[in-house]
Amino acid sequence: MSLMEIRNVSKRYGKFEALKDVNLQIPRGKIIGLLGKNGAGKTTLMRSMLGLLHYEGEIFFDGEPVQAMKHKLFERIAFIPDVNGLDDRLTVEQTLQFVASQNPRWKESTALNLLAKSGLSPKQKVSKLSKGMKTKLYLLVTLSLDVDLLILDEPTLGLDIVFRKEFFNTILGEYFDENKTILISTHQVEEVEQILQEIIFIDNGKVLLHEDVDALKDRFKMVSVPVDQRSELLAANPKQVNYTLGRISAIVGNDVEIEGAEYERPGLSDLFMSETGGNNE
Amino acid sequence: MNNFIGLVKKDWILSRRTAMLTIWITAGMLILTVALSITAYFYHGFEFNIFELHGVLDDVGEPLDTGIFLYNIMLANFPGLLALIFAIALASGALNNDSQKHCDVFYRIQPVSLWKVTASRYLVTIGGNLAVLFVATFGLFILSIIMGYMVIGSYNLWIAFKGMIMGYVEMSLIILVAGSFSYLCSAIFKDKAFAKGLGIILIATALIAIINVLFGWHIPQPVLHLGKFLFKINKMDISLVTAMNWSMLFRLEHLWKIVFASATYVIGSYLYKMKEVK
Repeated sequence: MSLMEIRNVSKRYGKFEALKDVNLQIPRGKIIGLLGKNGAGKTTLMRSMLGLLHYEGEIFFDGEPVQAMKHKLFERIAFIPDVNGLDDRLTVEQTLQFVASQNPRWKESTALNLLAKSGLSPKQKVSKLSKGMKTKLYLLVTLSLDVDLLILDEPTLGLDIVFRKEFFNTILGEYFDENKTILISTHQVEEVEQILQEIIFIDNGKVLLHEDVDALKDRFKMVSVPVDQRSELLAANPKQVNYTLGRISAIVGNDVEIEGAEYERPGLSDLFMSETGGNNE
Repeated sequence: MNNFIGLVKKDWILSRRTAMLTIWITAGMLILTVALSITAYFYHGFEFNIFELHGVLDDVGEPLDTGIFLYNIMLANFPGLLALIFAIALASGALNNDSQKHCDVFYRIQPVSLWKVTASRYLVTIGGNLAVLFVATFGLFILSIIMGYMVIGSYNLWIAFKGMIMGYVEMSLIILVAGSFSYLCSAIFKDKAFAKGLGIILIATALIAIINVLFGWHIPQPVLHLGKFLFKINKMDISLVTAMNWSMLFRLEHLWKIVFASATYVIGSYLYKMKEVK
């Protein structure tokens, strides 16, 4: 049985349909990427999964309806939102004490270990922390919880590259094992591409694809030919066509062969663009 | 239970600065009063006896005891007014401050019942102010005892204590009702909740007044009813005061105030619980 199951979920904000009949199965023990443009429905989907929004359809966590689980759901799921949402009025220590008091699955030793590594001062007010330090504190708080599913909604938005790398390294080192699941939505897909095992593409509120990353990459290839072979490439029904320095590149099916062409394994961002109609031909 | 204590602790950390103002302002006033009294005593003698009410209530038993009783009933008025203002201010943000501070998701994803979350906020914003009011009133009560012994040489402690408790209860009920109304508004409006809630009542009052004038109708005015409901003590039978007994506490309007406060808590908390976190 999958860890989370989403059945025919739709969500409207007035006349705008943010999610359209979404069906998904989130397996156990995987790192899954959720990729979509701005406004595609990523945040709405994640917040629906957490029961923070009202929606049509059904969402189950470990076989139980999310809405019936109410607050009990958060004993097993942790979430880092896109905007850093810690309470600025508390200190670092007060924040940790508060979360510890609310969570039966709080791991004090992990928290102390991460706090020692973080460089955060316990007496410092959250409002006085930099954006990066606030994210570090949020991560510290979240990773100190022994949960089954970690949902990250653009967690490194607005942070520099060094911090972003440290963030994902910490998650992999301190949290992930074969029993735990991570669902990450991020714009910087290249940074997490190497760690993702499955990918979900979402666009205009619809799930376009949910597939194993390696299997997806094996179905396609990136082909590059000189511009004078353009017609040969276009005959292969390409997606995501790009012109660069006298060459033309595109994503094509794995069975396509063009003489003199150069081949590469496509990246997730290229595959996403091809799926969402990013063809500029 | 532990997570409820954690919630209360956190909510008190966020509210204590505002709530404690009642004590600091009352203490400041108290120090000023003592300083002025000492100055007056040494330079001009101290002849005015605030506990003596001869000629005012001569027909109601022992006038000195009645004076002590009435004086102690009024002890809670000044800190009560402060606590009322701060309770309204704090309760006005009880259920919407998180979204203003962009930390609503952080609090909503904790594995604790939302009824506990709202109970803690209600307890701290309103109960916290009532506790602070009690401390402030008790401070003034102690001062009244000292002044009583200094000015009249004797003091009926039991009567004074009864007066203090009754005054405190009356003031507490006003705070409970107004604070609960503010709490309810915080579940409805995103910001300036109490002002908006009061504004709607005032607009309704104006509209009703216009309709009553235009059509000659007699639709009851919400503000008048709210005022009567809140400050019923002002119209209380004087015999109840002069009787100086605990029956003052057990009146139907007190029960209605508690019912009103409970209902606003339940409705406000339910609205908060049903709100989406977008």
